[in-house]
Amino acid sequence: MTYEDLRTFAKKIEDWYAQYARKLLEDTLPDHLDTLDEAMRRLVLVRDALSEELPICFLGNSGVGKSTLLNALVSKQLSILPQGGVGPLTALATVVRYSTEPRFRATYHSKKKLNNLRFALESNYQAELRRKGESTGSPADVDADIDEDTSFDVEVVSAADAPDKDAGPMQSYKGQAALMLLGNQFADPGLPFLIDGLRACLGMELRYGTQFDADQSRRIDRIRNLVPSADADAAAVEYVAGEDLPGFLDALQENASGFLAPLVRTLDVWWDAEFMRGGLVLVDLPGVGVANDDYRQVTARWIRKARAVVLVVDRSGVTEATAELLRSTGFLNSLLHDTHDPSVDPVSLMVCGVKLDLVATDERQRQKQMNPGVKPDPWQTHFDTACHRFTELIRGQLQTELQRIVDEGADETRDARQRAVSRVLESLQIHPVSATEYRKALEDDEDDPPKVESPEHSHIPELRDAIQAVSKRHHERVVSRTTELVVDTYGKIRTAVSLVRAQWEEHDRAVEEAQRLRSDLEEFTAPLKEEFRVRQGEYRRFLRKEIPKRIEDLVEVASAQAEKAISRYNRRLRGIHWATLRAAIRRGGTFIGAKHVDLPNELTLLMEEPIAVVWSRRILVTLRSETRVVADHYVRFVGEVVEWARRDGARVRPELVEALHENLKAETKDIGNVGKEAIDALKESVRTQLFDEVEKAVRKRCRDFVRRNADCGTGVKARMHEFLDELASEVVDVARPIALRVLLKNYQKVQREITAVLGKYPNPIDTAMDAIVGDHEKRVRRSDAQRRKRILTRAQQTLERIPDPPASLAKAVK
Amino acid sequence: MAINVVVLGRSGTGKSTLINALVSPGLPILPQGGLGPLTAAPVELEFSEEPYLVARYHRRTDVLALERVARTARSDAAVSIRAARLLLYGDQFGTAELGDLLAGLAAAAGHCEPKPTFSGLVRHRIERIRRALEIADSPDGSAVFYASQDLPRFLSETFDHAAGFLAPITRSLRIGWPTPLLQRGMTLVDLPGVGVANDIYGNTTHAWLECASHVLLVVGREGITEEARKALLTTGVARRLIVGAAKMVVVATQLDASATDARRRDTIRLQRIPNPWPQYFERIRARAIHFVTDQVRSVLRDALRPTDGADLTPALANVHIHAVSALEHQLFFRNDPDNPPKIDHPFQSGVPAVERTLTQLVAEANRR
Repeated sequence: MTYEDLRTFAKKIEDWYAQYARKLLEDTLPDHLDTLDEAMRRLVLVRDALSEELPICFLGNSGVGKSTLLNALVSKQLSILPQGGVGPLTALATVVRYSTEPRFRATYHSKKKLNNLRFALESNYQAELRRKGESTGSPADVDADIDEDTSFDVEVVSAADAPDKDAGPMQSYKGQAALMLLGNQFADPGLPFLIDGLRACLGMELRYGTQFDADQSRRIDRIRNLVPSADADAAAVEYVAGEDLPGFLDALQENASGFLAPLVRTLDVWWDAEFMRGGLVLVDLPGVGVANDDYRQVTARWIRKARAVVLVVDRSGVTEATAELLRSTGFLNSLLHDTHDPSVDPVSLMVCGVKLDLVATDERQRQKQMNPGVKPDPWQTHFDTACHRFTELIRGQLQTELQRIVDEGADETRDARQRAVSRVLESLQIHPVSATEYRKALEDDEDDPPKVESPEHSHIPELRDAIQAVSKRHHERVVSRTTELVVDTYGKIRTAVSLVRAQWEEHDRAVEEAQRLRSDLEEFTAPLKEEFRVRQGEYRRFLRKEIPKRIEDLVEVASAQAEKAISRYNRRLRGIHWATLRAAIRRGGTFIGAKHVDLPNELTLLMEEPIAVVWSRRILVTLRSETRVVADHYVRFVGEVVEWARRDGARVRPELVEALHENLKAETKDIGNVGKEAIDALKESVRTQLFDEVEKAVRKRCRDFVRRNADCGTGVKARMHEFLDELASEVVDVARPIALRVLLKNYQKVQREITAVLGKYPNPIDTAMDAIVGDHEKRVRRSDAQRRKRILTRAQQTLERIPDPPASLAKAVK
Repeated sequence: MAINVVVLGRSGTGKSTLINALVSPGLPILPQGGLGPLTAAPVELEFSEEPYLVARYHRRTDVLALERVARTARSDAAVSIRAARLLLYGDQFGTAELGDLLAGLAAAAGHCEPKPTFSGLVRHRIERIRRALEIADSPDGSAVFYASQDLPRFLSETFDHAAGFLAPITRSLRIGWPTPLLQRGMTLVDLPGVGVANDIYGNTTHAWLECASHVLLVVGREGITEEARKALLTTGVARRLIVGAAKMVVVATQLDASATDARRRDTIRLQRIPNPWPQYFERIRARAIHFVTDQVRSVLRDALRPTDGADLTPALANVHIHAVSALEHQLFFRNDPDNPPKIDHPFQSGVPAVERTLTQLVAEANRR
């Protein structure tokens, strides 16, 4: 069964429903229409979302060798991703997919970013001149239209009266400009050159009469032509390898790490690597350490979508810093959203150890040294041992490190974290490899001979197989889940049409007989009806009052937990050097240098955690179980009527009631899993909405703090700590209503889902009775022989036109 | 009076590899390149015509503490269990049962006799640990080994103490080695890597840094990490650099692969035999030095006080930045046909330049 088969069959069902079945049902079973429409809508949604794409994220500290590993996996000897660079500058997630023809596509930041950069450099230069007491040029251009955020940064970095304030971002601005104009981020041609260069890129008049050489002019022209005037106009630039592979690799390098890199917004690469066929998407997440907001959002988005995360570490294994990546990127939080639902794929974690060849070489050397004159074991033996030991090292380290994250967080959500971590450890895969040796084995260069016996011995092919296996498993699950849905929907509509046929085929009955039957039924169903009334009342109250109230209460609880967690985090911040903390506050809460202080991200994560737990463990679990109970009762009520009808076979045609019973069972089948689709939506909306607001609040407060000069002079440390404490409660105040809103909105979605299924049966017992005796009016209507004939013909035709399932589905459909 | 140069770096960046390259490139004396964090105790390297090794040990109570923690389900129990495996089986990885490990620890602490099921080798290790703990209790408190007769034995003792079965109970090591660099009045102190999770014996690194006047910071391709930055700031090293009370040498290592990759790219792009490897390495070194200089500036800036003024130049003069390939340097001297070096002359590795800087700094300090 392929995705294409499923798509085609689903589309056929949709068409058949729209063309024939729906019209017939509209005339004959209008009460059922809502549910069937809903089922159909879901089918369309699932068909649209049916994607072969399976993202696998590669995560690791910068410099560890992620790109080298990815290159070995994807392009064997060739380097398509920049690797081995020193000092990354861009925060870009490079995305690699399969295609028979190698190509890449880049989109670029708009002029605005370039202009912000120019503005920052000019302001800084003028401030420098002012400090030296030299005259400044006209400030007109400096006050150009730029982002508020940048203006804040610039205000801070160029504040003439406080030269010590902070030149951190300035260095990065200069580096970006130098990379664009000179192709070297470390070149320092002086501010006037950089300013003129950027002005030339923007098509503005030069200010310092700089002369550009041929290379510089070429770069400036390229930039001027590539950069769109606004984000909305951003066109993708495609480059197909074709015959000129070296040229292609050069162009790719220019974008990925060369002079265009600071301008690149997205970079997608396609390569003809067989193993990626069938939808694998490998995402090279930027190494941490160059982070900015773009980076964080890019990373968080991919991590949420990822079906597997490959954590890349070197011989020291999983250190605190690497384990921390799993937390700060939101990987662990995103696991908290998933209820323990066996039908949901667990996201698997793979730890990949790179550069283990170095360990083997050193070990062999040691052996030689310790036993002079004795022939040491072959290199391969040492490598195999290193790989084996690495596996044990990682298992132990990861357990310790993840346990630490479980223990350090809030007590209230500890169990949920523990469960998430246990799930990760259960499915953990560990892959020790040597990408370098793999390449050497493929190249087999005399000057640089491989030490591994064969490419396979580097374990790279094994890792490739493991990734492919994840993809295979995932596709199998998706196919089986989708098949189930398609078959269900197909069954529902077919049953409904069959029900129509059964109803209209019903033989006329003597009026008295019908009345007698009806009164017998009434008598039998009276207690059922009473029970139903009570249950329905309770359930309605539960949906309307209980759950929203519970959501409110739990958000209060979650906020209190978050506040505690945040103040715990603040206590940890006190351990950080005050200057780092100040740098963070001056930069609006985020300081990503060698030391990370990332208030918006950390506070969002701390707020998200209890919210995720509240929703998945408290709200959704209760809602599902209550709804399941109600749905089961519905099925039972009708089931009892069916039983009664069977016992009374003489007067009733059981097919009819049975068709109804089957229909009900089919329709309430999934009710116990309501909210499945809402989970992904929630993951996305909680994080992004919380983050946006939290960030705004943090930035604003930090800015106020700096503007009233509270960041200077004696007592700054105490003032900052006080400020952080205030910030904690303010952030919670800001986040609480958002959390409440998002959860209530999400609940509405789920509630709609429930009422769509159950709402069709305002009273299942009456519907069942109706099916048996039919009310007078309907019988009169059906007794119109001509009309009956027409309906029956239509029902017959509709059933005949029902699309044939593909061979592989035929059995399931029966 | 020898000047202490304390060596700081993330575990896995190749601190020990660099020290070996500096001190004894042909014959590494410190364990290098193993899995997981290696250096658990500070190792002092000083000059001596005749090589020796002086070991100091932890106390009996520390071994018992290991046993206690190993029994619990605490998150650091795994660390204690690994330490116990290393102590008893010479390998932190393995399948030994917890019961055996606990019994072994108790026996090593002298609380009971070794289980009869223990192998001869395990009994031997338990015996060695017992002796070490006795030494720890004695007034002198240290064990001395000389290399005079048996160099392999000396090297294997060094390994056992620094990364082998004795490492978990070794508190500090002092090694004497005949090398010209150390002859000029310098002691190199290899500190446990910063950022190593599971540091079971508390932070000796910080104690050393707090009084260090000369720091050798070893960084990998990613430059100065968060932990190293934190260590420099919180121990006052950065402040002392600003006020001129300390000198620092930053050495970027593990750049070999970058040069190899750049050369490979050229092979593909130019479709001809590219320039020799050392030329590529030279370029990478230049870039690394720029990059690390930027990072150093940023660390120093965070340590600035308003009274210092904004100029970092005087502080930067106290920092010397190098980029090296310790591996190639070792390969050059090792003369191993299995592993030929990529460089033609030692200076191409960048290590001799570090030696020169260190020698100068020590000479200056001694003059004062």
